[in-house]
Amino acid sequence: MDGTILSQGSFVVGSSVVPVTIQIPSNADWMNVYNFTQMGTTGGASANGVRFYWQRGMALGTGIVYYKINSTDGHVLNGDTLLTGGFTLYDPSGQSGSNAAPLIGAAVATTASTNATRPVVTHTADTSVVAGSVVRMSNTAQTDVNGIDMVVGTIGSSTSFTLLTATNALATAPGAIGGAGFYRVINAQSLFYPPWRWITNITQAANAQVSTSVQHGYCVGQEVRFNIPAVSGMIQLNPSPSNNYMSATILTIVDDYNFTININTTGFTAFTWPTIAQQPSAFPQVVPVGEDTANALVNSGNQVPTYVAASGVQIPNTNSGILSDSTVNTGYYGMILGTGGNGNALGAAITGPAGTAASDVVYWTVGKSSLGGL
Amino acid sequence: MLAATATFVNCVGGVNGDIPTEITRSDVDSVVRTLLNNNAYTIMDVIEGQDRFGTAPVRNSYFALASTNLTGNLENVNGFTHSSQYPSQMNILQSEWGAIGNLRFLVSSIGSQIANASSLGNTIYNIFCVGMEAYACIEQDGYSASFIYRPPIYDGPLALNASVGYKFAEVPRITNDLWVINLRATLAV
Repeated sequence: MDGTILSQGSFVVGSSVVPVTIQIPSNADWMNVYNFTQMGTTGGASANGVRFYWQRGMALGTGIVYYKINSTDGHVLNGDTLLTGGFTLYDPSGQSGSNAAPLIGAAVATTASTNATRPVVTHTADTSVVAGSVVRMSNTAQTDVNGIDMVVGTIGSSTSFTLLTATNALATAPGAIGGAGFYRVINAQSLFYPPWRWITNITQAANAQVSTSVQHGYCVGQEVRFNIPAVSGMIQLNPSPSNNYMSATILTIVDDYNFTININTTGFTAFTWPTIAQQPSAFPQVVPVGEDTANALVNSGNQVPTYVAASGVQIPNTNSGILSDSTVNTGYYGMILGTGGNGNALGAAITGPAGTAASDVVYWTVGKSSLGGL
Repeated sequence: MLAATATFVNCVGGVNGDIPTEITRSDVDSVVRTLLNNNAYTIMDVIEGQDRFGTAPVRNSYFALASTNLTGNLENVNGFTHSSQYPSQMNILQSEWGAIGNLRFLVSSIGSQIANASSLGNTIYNIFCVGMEAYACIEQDGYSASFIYRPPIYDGPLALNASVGYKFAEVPRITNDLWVINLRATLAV
């Protein structure tokens, strides 16, 4: 039984290299990742990781890496250890403790956040946040931003980042600058799919576009209902006896944070983000409730639930096609493959196990050891 | 499942300075009003008043599923009636703490909560207010779950290792999203 491979698989890097979470057996002790494409390519101007190894006991985010660099011979493999951007266990149950990524990261102090539809947060030095991370603010003067999970759009430096992306900014600014406070990195997705989401904006259009604060993961054809508080204006979207408990069908997926619906909102009250002066209040929310089967049958090829479309990885345990709306437990034990970071010896960036470039073909194996310890 | 997929409203009637606030009567009334407007049936029938000292009649009610940490806050809500003060002790569940308006509260030590999620970074407690048949659990293949233990003699040729595992064949599902509301609250300071 020693060295028995328990699981294997492969994936193709999407349009950009982003962290990839692989579902693995819960008692795995080691993992190998091979970048098939880059292994057959000469090294580039920077260090391209081609083979990666993780074993239980290694620190979070690290791993052993073999890489190619075009210094003298682009075919030669060099060895190093990744300081960041390597392997990180994912366990939404929290039972792995410090051996896996914390469900909620430690509080990091902030000094300011701007009064903008994409607030720029200034904080003490912290490199754990990357573009695409989800953070939760607290204790700042922007009480209408606190407690709302939001994606990090861009990283300014090791001491600043911008909340939200260019496509899912708040409809209106929070109302005042935020002073000192904290943020925490949120590493766990909703345990069940399809999840509810906070709404940051809804356009007034023939087919309204809805923006969410984090990746929605929805598919074309899914039915949603809205829970818009009076402070956000567009309460005509709420289900009520007068509109026969209206729901909306998702017509198109614009990107990871936006989708359009079959509701004409041109005559509705303009959508606004609740301001600081209006707190405490409820916050606008979208809730999946089912599926428009006629629409789903037409678009069944497009109904593959993903949180990050560029990764090309379907949300584990979810169904595709006409059953894409089905309620499923997406809790699983996994490995987050990072995008790379500085090598300990090289002192410069090496690409990670999530891939080097778009369309890279990556193979992986995960195994269990029957004897030995950490 | 309810925490991930159900509609929620924040408690806003309290005075603890957090978002959401602690639970108050106006928050309870708001949820009850919404469930009534959505034509949700109550789960429990009226408990009629009787000539017993210290008791009060209990309305027909929806269930509210909450954490045991909220018991003190519930007792501070205007109109709270502890289950020991019901006129009849028939049809009271072991976990039932009391009633406010048209909600009867069932508490559990593993009640749903979200750490560091409020505006002030405090724990948010989910209170699932449900009407009749708002959600269901579908058991497949005639069973819900299996806990499987294999002693060493069956688990390997050298009888060195035992194995333990479990598998579920059940699916929880909201049957009508209009009949369940997650009322989110923090603790009073």
